[in-house]
Amino acid sequence: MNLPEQSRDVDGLSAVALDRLLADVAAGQEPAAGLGSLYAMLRAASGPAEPGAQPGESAALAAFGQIVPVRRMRRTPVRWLSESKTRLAVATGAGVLFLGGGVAAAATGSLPDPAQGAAHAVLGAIGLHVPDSGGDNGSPGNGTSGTAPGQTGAHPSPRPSGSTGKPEHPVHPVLPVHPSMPPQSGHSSHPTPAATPTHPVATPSHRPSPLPTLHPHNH
Amino acid sequence: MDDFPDVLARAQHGDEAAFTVLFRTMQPMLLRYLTVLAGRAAADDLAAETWVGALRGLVKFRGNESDLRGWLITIARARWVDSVRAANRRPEELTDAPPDLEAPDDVAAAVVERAAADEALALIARLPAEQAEIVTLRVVAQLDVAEVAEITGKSANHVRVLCHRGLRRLAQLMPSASVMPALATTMDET
Repeated sequence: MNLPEQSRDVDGLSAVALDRLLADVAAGQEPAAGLGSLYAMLRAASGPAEPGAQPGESAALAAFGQIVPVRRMRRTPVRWLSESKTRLAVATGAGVLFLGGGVAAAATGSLPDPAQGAAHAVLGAIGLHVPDSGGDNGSPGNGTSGTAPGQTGAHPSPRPSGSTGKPEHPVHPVLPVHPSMPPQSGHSSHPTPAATPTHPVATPSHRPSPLPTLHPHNH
Repeated sequence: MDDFPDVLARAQHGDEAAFTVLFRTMQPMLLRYLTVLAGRAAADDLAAETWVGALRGLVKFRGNESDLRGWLITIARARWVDSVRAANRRPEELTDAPPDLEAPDDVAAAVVERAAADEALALIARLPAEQAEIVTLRVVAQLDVAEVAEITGKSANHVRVLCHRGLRRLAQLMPSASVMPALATTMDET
């Protein structure tokens, strides 16, 4: 079907120009030459309202209080992590685990040489004795007192080689249970808001579901 | 509204502050649409009825911000049609000559001087009823052709034609170029 309005100029304004004008109005872009007046009028019609309370707001809020019940929202993982108190608790817990695990690792001499040496120096300054990187023994808490370093198999600490005098890693080190690893049960005791992820984010759809009864009136 | 899904979800759970955000976002558009349809005096009552209807279905609503606009418009239009039928009057009789709008020449001058939404809407309301409604839905409610077609029960092609006719008619109603600078200045400020 040929529609003159869509294919040729009428009154100097083509359908293409008018469609572009509508897009410009929606985007707030400068209109084509000659359409400034119409553009300005349409922008005025669609412009922002005065900020703050709108007409009829108090009545609408009263109706809202009567019609929409207050229900507790289920927290989704995203919402849960976005809450400031939760973030603080998670960060604090992670920090405690990290520091506690690091100190425990240092106490058992489980850290690599440079870290072990640094831990020895730092913790020693505050009165905590941890083995030095050279295989310090007799320190409380390493569980190897009275045993020659390197014979417990609890830590692959470097030992001087008889021939080179250079430290070497043992050929078959027995890996210890790293004290910095959090217990597995720690996860199960965590709050699990994600167990039922029912994020109420609206599902995009062309038409909303609860359409009211419409009686279209064809003019 | 960047956080529309979150605001909608909180409103659906009874959060009054979240509903206030939705209301303040949608109410101006709703009032402008109903003003073009039924005149300013009736727009407030129809908007209130629209919100009551919307609140009854709010918990089950699913959609984005544009969907919410279309949904509210659909409810508002139904309320308007009901009110017209209740009064045993045809909708065209209301929109062809809105009782509380200024004369077109005065309106055009007011748009130039203040570029206010009310005056611009009064100018749109001077269009034939179908054109006025469709221009309002396309411009004020920012609905696309398909959404307007669904709401009004017309074909998409018919919506385009009516919209173009309305815009051309509006271009004829606009003031002369001699007053354009004042209008442009006013619009720049907004």
